[in-house]
Amino acid sequence: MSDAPDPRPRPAAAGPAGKSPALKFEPWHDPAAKPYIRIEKVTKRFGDFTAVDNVSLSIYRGEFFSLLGGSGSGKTTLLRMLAGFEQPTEGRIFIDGVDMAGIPPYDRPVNMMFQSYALFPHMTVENNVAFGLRQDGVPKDEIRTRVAEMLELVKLTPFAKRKPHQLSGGQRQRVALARSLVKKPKLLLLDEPLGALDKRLREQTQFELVNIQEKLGVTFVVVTHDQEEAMTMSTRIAVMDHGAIAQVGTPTEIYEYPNSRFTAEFIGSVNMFEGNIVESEPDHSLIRSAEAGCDLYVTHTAHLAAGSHCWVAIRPEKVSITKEKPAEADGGRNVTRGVVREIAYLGDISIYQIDLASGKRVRATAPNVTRRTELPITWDDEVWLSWRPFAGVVLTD
Amino acid sequence: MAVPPPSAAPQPSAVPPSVAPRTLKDRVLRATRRLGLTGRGGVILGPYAWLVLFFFIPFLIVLKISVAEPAVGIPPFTKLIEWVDGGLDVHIRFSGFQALFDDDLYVLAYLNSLKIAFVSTLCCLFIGYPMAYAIATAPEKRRGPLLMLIILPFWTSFLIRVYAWMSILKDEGLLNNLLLSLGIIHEPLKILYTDLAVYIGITYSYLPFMILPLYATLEKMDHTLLEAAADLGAKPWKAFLTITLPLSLPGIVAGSLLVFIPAVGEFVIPSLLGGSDTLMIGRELWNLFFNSRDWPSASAVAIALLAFLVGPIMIFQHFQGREQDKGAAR
Repeated sequence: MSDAPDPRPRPAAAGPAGKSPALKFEPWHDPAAKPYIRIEKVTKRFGDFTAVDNVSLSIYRGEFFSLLGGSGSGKTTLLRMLAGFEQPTEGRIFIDGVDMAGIPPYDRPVNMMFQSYALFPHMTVENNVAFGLRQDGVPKDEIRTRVAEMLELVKLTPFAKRKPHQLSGGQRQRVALARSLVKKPKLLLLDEPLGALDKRLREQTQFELVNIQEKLGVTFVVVTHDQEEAMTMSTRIAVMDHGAIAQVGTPTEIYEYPNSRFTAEFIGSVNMFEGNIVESEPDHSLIRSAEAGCDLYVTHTAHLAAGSHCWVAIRPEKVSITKEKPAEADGGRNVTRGVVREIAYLGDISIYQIDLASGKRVRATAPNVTRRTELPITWDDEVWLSWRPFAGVVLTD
Repeated sequence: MAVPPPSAAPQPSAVPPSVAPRTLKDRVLRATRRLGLTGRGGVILGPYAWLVLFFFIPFLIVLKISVAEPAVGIPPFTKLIEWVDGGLDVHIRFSGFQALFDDDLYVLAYLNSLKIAFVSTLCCLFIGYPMAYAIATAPEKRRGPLLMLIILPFWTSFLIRVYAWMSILKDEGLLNNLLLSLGIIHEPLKILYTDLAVYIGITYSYLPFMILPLYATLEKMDHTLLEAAADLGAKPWKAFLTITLPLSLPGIVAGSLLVFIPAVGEFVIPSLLGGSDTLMIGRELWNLFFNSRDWPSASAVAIALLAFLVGPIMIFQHFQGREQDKGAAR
């Protein structure tokens, strides 16, 4: 994870898809729901190198599922196994109940959008999109109407006669999308779909992708290394590390309840306090941390014996900064002191870097509710840091 | 409003502009510049001088001979311009060119040359394409050695390799002996001194010129395009026909022309491997020059051959130019 992740972790619950809470889409909680893709204990080795290590996953119809990980985490290999370009060394993959072992890519009910887009350079936009339909022997009239519909959907109708090298990066991306969607696949695989676009275009395209996915009801499996992209678009995210799955969950779950230090640090930014369990009760845990300079009270059980070593993860936006000692501080828990070392003013929020007495640097963010000139906290101020009991997450590894 | 940057004002220079020391190098540079000779010009001049000296001037000489008349003497043709009785006589005769049409031998030889070159080019393409494809798709560390094997025959003289084919193809040659001993045939096949031997010889000799440009285009082809085609439902052979083949067209054109153009004028192979009835224009040209000593007619044949080949060469140039444009657009 880079030193400078996006400083403004998105409120995960409010994705741009506007998936309203009333329309709850959570088939993974429904024991009766049948997964559309079942990946069972899949391992892929290239020589001595294990690219994918014993991965099991269930993905449901209509999901926008992201495989998130750094380079070499095995996410692309997993995607290529779904497409049929690689065969698992061990384990099985089922798509719609059918075992995919030995089924070549051209016989799978799956289409893929390539990271490089892989547009056919000698064909016009129109012919690129029509290519898949021609392979299936679709009648000419139908090809024409379906290609036209698809170009309409991605707003490329005026560019139908152009060759790929006459298009901009964003237009090529949309041709690739149209080409992979024109066969109405039940499952679309996308390899870093927005990777080659600049930041502004990427944000705009995120919305478009989600809209198209909802409009067509296609299941999307997306490979990405961009955590913000995964958070914005996905119904669920699988965080991958060294070929294995570190955590699977909704963006909220992954962000708010990471199950490991890896996930916590990979998604957004986080403050990690090392400490030892003092109390581990069913309704709360108490952790003593020399690093934090105070006891940490967390309203969930750590399932750990007293004295065990652990970490407490607290997100920067959950840390509040005050000049006065906060009133609700009870018995010195979840309250510590420090000196402001750095302030990054980003307009909507400010990021504060605070050094604690232990030397630990803590990151805290605060929305700039008031105007900047009225900011009460400045460099070298001694401040109080506090957080609510629900803010922390106890992690063991 | 921005204040104009102070640097815009003329700088009062404390030090007077130093007078450049005039070295010899400076003077030479100045002189050449005055003549319009710059470093870049010099670099371009080299190849031009080469082309003018060794291609254009010889061409003019051949052109000049082609409009002369044969004569007994050294050189064996009449002068183009002669000083006769206080006046310039310019002799331009087209008898050499006329001879091309008087005798249908030359027309037939041209047509036969084109046919042999065309068929040999096709053979090279059908043999060379799979080879180039196999090398281009081989693991990267094996490509170098494989390409080396393609180029390796060039280390032996072309003439020796053609002679080797004679000993393979002759009646008691390697091939016939092998087939006889295997019992496949009972009488030696007549291959040497037939058109078949010429086809074999040309195809063998020019195969590397087909493989190398094909390899160059196939090797730089993006492999994900084939994956994309497969993903969209194209079976491997369909993906080959719709993606690989059209994208390797520049290589096919380049390779074919590199084989076709020299094959049309080929002289050594038909002389050594072909029969007395194998008509090829290169051979007729040789006969005219050395047997008939009719230099003007021979030059006319050469000029006509060149005119024939300019077409294909221009196609080649056109395709290459287009490739470069595309490369620049990317």
